[in-house]
Amino acid sequence: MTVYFLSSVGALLLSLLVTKLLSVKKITGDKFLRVLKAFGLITAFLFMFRYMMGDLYIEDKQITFLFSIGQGLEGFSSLSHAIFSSVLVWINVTAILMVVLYPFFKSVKTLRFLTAFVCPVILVLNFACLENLLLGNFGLEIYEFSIRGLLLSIELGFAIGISVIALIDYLKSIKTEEYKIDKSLILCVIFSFLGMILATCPNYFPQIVLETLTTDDVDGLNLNHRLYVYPAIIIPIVLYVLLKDRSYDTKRFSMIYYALAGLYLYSLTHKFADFAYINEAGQFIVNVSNLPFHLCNTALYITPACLIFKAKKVFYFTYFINVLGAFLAIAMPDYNLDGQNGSMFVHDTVLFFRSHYQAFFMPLLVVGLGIFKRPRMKEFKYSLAGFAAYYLFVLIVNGWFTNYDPDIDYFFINSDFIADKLGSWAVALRNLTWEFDINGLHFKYYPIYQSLYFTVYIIMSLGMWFLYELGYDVAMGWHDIANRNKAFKLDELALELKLNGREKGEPVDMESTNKLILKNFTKRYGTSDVYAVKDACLEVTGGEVFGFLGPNGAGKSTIIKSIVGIQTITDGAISVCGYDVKTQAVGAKSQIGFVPDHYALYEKLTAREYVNYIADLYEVPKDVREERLNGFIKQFEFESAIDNPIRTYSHGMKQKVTIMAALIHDPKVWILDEPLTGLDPNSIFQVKECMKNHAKKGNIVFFSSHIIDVVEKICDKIAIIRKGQIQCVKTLEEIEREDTLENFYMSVINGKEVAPIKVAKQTAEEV
Amino acid sequence: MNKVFTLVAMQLADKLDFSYLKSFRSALFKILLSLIKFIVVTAVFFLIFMVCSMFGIFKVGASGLIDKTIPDEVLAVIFTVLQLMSILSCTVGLTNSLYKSMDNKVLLALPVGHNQVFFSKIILYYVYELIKNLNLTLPMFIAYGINNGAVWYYYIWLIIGFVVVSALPVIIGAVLSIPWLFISAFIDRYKVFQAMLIITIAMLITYILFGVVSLIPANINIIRQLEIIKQDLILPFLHGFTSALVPYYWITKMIVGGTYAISGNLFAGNTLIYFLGLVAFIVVCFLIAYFLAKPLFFKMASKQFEFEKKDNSAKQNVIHKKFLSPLAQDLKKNFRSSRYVAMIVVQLFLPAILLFLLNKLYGAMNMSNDGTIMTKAFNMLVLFLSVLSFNNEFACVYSVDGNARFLEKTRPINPAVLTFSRLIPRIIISTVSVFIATAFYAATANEGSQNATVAYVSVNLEEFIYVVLSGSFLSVAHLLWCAEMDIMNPQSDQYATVGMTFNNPNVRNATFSSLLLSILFAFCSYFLRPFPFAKLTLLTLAFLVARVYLYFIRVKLYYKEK
Repeated sequence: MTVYFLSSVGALLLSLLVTKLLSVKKITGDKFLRVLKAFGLITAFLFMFRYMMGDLYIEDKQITFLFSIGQGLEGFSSLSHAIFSSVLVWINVTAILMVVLYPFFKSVKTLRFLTAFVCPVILVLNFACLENLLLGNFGLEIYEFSIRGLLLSIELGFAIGISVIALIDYLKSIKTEEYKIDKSLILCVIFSFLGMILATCPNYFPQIVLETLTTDDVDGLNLNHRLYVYPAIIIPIVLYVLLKDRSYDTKRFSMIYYALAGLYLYSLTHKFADFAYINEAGQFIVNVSNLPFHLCNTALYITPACLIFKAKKVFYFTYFINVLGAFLAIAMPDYNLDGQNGSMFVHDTVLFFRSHYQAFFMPLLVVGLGIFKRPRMKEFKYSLAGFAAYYLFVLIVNGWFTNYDPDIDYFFINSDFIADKLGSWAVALRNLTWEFDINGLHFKYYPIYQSLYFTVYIIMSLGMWFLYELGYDVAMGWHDIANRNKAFKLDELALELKLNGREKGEPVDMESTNKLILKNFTKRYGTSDVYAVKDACLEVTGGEVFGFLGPNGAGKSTIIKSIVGIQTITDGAISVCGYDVKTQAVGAKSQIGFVPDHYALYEKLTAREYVNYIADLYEVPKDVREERLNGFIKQFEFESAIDNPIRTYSHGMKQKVTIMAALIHDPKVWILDEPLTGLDPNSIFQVKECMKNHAKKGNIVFFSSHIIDVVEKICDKIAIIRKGQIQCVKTLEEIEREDTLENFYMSVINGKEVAPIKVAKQTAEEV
Repeated sequence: MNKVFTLVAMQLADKLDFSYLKSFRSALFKILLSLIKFIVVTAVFFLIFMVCSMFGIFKVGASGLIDKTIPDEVLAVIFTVLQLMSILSCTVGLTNSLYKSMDNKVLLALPVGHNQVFFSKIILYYVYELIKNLNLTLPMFIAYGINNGAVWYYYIWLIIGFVVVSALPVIIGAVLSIPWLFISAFIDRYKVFQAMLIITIAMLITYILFGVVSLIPANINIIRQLEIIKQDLILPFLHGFTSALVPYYWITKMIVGGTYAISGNLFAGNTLIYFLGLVAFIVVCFLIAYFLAKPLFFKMASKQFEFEKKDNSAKQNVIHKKFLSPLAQDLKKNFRSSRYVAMIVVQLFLPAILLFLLNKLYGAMNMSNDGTIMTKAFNMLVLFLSVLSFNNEFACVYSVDGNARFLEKTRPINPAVLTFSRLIPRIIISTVSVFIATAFYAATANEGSQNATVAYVSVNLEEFIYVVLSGSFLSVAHLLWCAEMDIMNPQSDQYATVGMTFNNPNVRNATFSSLLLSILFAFCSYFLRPFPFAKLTLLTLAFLVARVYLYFIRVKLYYKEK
């Protein structure tokens, strides 16, 4: 034991000495971190080597049984002693994993805290109870010279060294914001530690504690089976919710930790000696049935490797192929009980499900948390190619190794395990064999069955692709909803602040209650490269007839549609009689009457019904409504047509109905988008008169038109827009002092070349 | 002729989605997907035929009328039913497309002859019919061939046959569309007659169905009575059907020939005669359509743009409250369509009739314990399928307004009120429909339980309430989902330009979702034992809550920009 203690102390002193040397030579920052990483890697290497060299002594499957029949485990005086030792082994692994990962994930606050304050406690406890720790790991061989014991001791020394360095580093920086200890950090630390501890809980531990509760088999979706199936769904959801808002490093660290913990637990029964050994006669024997060639075995090795080395192409193989296999395994378990009584908590059952949990939800979590990006079809094809290669490999290996062990059945394509579950037709297919000999080795294949197996798996993988795409669409939909809702609530908050205690139904800008104002209004359609309108500024006051001129596609309709609420605003603000169009949409719309460029009416209704419907929405009182409607009927000569269905009207009549509906509530702002198109001269005259009279009452009339003559005759002010930018805003008086409106318009439109404003490409940071 | 093909190409490009042709990859993907769908449909038919063969449902001795495992007569019956349905849909569809479509405004104004426009539309429908046959009928015939060991050139002959056969319902529809236009215009014009017709048809269908149901014997044991059912029911029905609709039997024979085995004789005796006969018939119909269309088409097509001027006496202004006005206007618009009234009647009673029929059958059977539990689950499936299928058209509930949909966004009212008010009538109708259907189900199930070995098949009050609740919750949830599809992916432009849409992706998705939900929740009612209906009610309620939330949040966040 002295040797072990001394080597542990020696390793600790070495690590601290190297640290001191670096500090004396003022080597800090990245270089110091590299040395720390080197220590971490050495610790990891020592752990891996001594761990894989042989079985864990405490991992005897029937500890309680042995103690209950008085046999016990040699070296342990009682069951409690054995349990204490197994707890030491357990927490030792937890601490080792943390200190090994610490240098690579220093930015993760909880890891930093745990490595600085919790790991020293665990590791010092391990050191103080070194004999029990060694006994639990290696058994009685420690009392003679044990290489494994020595390696563990050295590893422990280095681990303590790293944790002490972490502690010193933390204490030095504790005053900074990043290292500050507060309530939220403590909470995170507690939950993280619990999670980490649970992740490394040995598979044999439930059996030691709960063996008396073992019951029926775990199969066929009975209650016991379902108790194992539900965590496969619940755990990833919980992990996702806890980690989704954390930093990239925290997420990556968490996934690597769980992946390594899973690999560690799987390796409890898959050591070097399980794969190959040298027998008494000095021959090198490969244990063909124990090689990790099952599909889910590959996931346990691939997932941590891909996360550590960021190997994306290989990762997607687990994502598309392993996940499916693991899910099927969880649904249709097949595990070896080694003749044990009761099955719910035995080591093999726990191992089976935990390994398959990892293969099932780790890849999903890794992509869900954004550690690896959402795969495209290209990655899917690579994974299919990888699967094809794996399948071919397994076919060869199964055929070859069956010569040494007839029960070889990697990926279950050799036995009738799957065929039995499918029925007699599958068994019949499997009975078609192809056999041949090569160099004295006999190969037997089931060509139809195995081809079908491969094809079905490929089809199911394709199904997985569609399922994933559906899942992504749903997830992105929810994400978008969450973002938009957030933005919506921020807008509401901003509105409340602006209103400053006033009612929501009141205008936000009390000084502009007779104005239509555009402030830097900008509109971009979808993800197009150019802005439809950029930085448009306008102010129209009550009593004005405002004309809006511009060529086709200039942005006139875009501005109008954004004012009346048909389209959203990308940037800037629009205010109608003091109501902000974005945050007080209903209030703003109640001030507007809109005549679109093309009538859009309910053709099964009569004109009277339609206008009344609009009047209902604007809450026009009955007597006012009747007076106005009768006035319009007379003005537009609608006496004979007002109670006919709208579908029987001519274009001009439909346009008149639209005008009536727009004016029935006497809006403060009357907006018309090319209202005179298709009207006869009499109707044009009537509409122009309406516009003038409406403005005379102190209201705003805002309309866009191509007909310059009309604009010239009735407008007080005009604006000209070209390629999304307002070129000028002038009164008719100002223009006509120097030239006609037509000449002025042509000079503006045909003047200096104006390019549409392109959207700036987002920087990587912004993305 | 060039002009006709140009018109066809233009209309096809407008109606069908060819965006996948832009890249090789997407084209390949589309082809692969179509191939997979084709294989799946063929496999399904093959399985059905295989099961029928295994149970010998149609097999008789060598001396009997039918001496194959799946005789031609069976195929003829299925094919005839599909063809009759095609004729019906082509007649109605062509009536709308030829004479009532908004794109006539554009097409008739082009420098092409009116009959060229006429034929371009018929060719368009032929393309649809061909696509439909390729997706449905051809796989059935292929599966039939595989099941009966057809010769290799049978499959090539099928393609030739279907190219010709696809023209048949289209050309018949084109001819029938002419009188149908006048009939439908007459029915549309006289509302009273319309109402009487709907009631008469409903009563007739109900009478026929009840008549059919009364033929079901008190005790059925399908396994034991299979031979009797075959001799007394199936075979006479097949014989009678094929005798009554001989031309379609000939067409079927023309396609399948005498495919008895690998060395079969596809082109047996009358194949050529039948083929020539079919071609001749198509040509004759074509000529009739041509000669009728020439003078009549333009007059009929332009009629939709003509309206009688009526001098009505002035009516009163009707005032509604702001939040009720959208609902009032919607009801007004809808009830002016005869189709709407007919649909309400169908929606209210079809699920009830289906469940009544089903449980009459079940009531005549002796079932095991598992069988009675399955019966209930199957009742749930039929109830959900029948109720949810009427929601599918709500996947274009807002888009049907065309451009008016955009104008609605300018109204000073919460958009959720506007959009949700459209759904209220359907919510009420579907809830009532579920109630009526469940009442029928309970009544017939309880009556039938006298024959059952266990009392479990009967429906007590508690179960009745659960079924009504879960059916209503599911229907409303699906309805909201369909409406949500239209909000998120509006198809207003199609409706604005043409007045209708073909291949609406929202309706397609709604149909798929109704199928999926019906199967899923029926599945739950079988597997969530004990207390399956209570659990089903909770699940459907949870689904409803989720959909209500999603609907209103999407209206709030997306309606304005979509």
